[in-house]
Amino acid sequence: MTSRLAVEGLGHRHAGSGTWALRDLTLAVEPGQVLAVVGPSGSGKTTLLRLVCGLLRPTEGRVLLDGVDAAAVPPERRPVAMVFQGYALFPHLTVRDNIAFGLAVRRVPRAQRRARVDEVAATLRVDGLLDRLPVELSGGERQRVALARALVRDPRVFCLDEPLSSLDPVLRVEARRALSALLRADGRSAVYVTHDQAEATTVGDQVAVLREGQLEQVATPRELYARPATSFVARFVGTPPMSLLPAAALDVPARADVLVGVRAEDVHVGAGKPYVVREVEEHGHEQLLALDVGGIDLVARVPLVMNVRVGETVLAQVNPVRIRLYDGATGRLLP
Amino acid sequence: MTGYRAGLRWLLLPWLLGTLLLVVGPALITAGFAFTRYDALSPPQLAGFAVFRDLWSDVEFRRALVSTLVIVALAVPLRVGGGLLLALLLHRRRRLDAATRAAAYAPSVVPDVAIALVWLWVVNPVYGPIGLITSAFGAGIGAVLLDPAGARLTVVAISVLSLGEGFLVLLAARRELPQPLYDLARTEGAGVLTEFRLVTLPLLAPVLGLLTARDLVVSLQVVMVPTLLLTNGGPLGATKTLPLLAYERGFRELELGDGAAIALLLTLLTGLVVAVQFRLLRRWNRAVAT
Repeated sequence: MTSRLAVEGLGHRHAGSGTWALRDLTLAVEPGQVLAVVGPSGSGKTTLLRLVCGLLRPTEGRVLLDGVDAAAVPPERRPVAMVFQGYALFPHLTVRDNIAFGLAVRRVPRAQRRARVDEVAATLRVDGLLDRLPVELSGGERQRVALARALVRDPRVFCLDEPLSSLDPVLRVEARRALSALLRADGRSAVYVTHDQAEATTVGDQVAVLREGQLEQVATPRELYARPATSFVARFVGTPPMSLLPAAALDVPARADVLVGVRAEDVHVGAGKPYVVREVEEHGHEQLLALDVGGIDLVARVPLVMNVRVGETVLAQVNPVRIRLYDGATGRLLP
Repeated sequence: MTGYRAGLRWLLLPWLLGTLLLVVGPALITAGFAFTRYDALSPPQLAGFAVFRDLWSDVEFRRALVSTLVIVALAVPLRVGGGLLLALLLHRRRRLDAATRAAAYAPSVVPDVAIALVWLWVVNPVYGPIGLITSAFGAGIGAVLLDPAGARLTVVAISVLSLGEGFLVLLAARRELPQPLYDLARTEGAGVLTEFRLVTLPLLAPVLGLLTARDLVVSLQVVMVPTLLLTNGGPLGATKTLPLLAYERGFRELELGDGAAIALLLTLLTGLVVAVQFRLLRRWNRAVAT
């Protein structure tokens, strides 16, 4: 089966500065799948989207859509629809005209435009808003209008750039669920860019972690959490992220420069060696303790009933089966 | 708080006084003179609407009205359109940015008088550059400023050169337009013209409307200096605009009543033209919503 979207050795270099925004990226998205792309700002996420939808030309490598090289396909003929960060709605156009914008550019006859907009607006529950202007909409409504405009193209691939970043946190959870279903409907696929790793792991079937234009890891959310491929991913993914400590500090038999990655739930408090509690953070049903291990924090997840104060000494040990070892120099996961 | 407010009122006072004495007062007095016959020597005689009736049947006034409208109708679209074109060409950051923008703005800081004198040379058929170049090819130009159409075009050309302010405003406005809207248009396959029609123009429309209104007001009043120096209203009154006629009547021929009446009509005309323009703009705005 050919992938819905594949990029092979994809790279893009800024013409002006000569720096690489993205380098040697190889990924694939299958039909009905959402690929979440996550990374700090400047990691090349948006560049990837722009390459996929055709706003940028690759400096090297290829973009394949349903197995076809997209190099010769202009943006308007790609089966790709982009949802821009901040939604990019036209302030002077009504919701109807905003949704129909692409159809107007393509000179689709008016009657046909109307019918198509009505259909899409019903799907996204914006049919009651068609005569309003963007200023009269809430954040969630704007987001749905932007999605409707993308859906009008009947794309095979959605490209979404931080689609939830301008919503308040409560709305975000709700919108994320709705989005999750819509993106996979009818065998569509999506590339979902976000800087929020929690959002990426909830929305994506696969999650790609980018850093300075390079792919650190692409994996299922579960795999990403359990076996971060690099110390960067270990520090980036998970709430809280992995604690990384020198092997010697935890008495792990390994080379001196090896870093040991430990998830908070793999630290057992109550037995083992004594550590000073440097910080306590309550999270509703649990609390996180930052234990001082030779000046570095080892975070442990413990039940709320455990009564611990900052400055106290607790006994703790790390589950040796669940630790990950990282090369101190390259940051790579050691087998 | 009240003391502060009272203080503000006192601060406003000089400005208010100045406006009353120098703008509102003279304007009202002029409006009053418009209904009189007055030669500044003997006391004004009330004449009512007879002044306006006489003006209407006055050939020179009618010609001035037409000249004004023709020149404004050519100059305003060219100046606003030219400013827009330059703004769209130069809004991207490139090398030599500062130089190109300075070049576009420069003519606006040169005094009208200097520009008028330069143009006297430019269009001179004997030793001006256009004359020299065209006669080298055996064609030559006639005495441009002695030809009604040529004189009008020269006046228009001079006023178009001072598009710098509109250009600056439009440059800033274009810079403010969000890039994602253009990206979106590109993903739908919009070319340069479609992009202009569906993105740039509607989003700049409010600014363009305001600039056009301002330009109309200025053009209806200010084309006086170049015409006075360049053609003195000629040939055959082709460039004798209403402000120039008001000046001539009032201060050269000492028919202050006539001059005041022309000025009053010019004010009404300006208001009318701006109102019509806003009406058109609103209708167009509604129509452009795809």
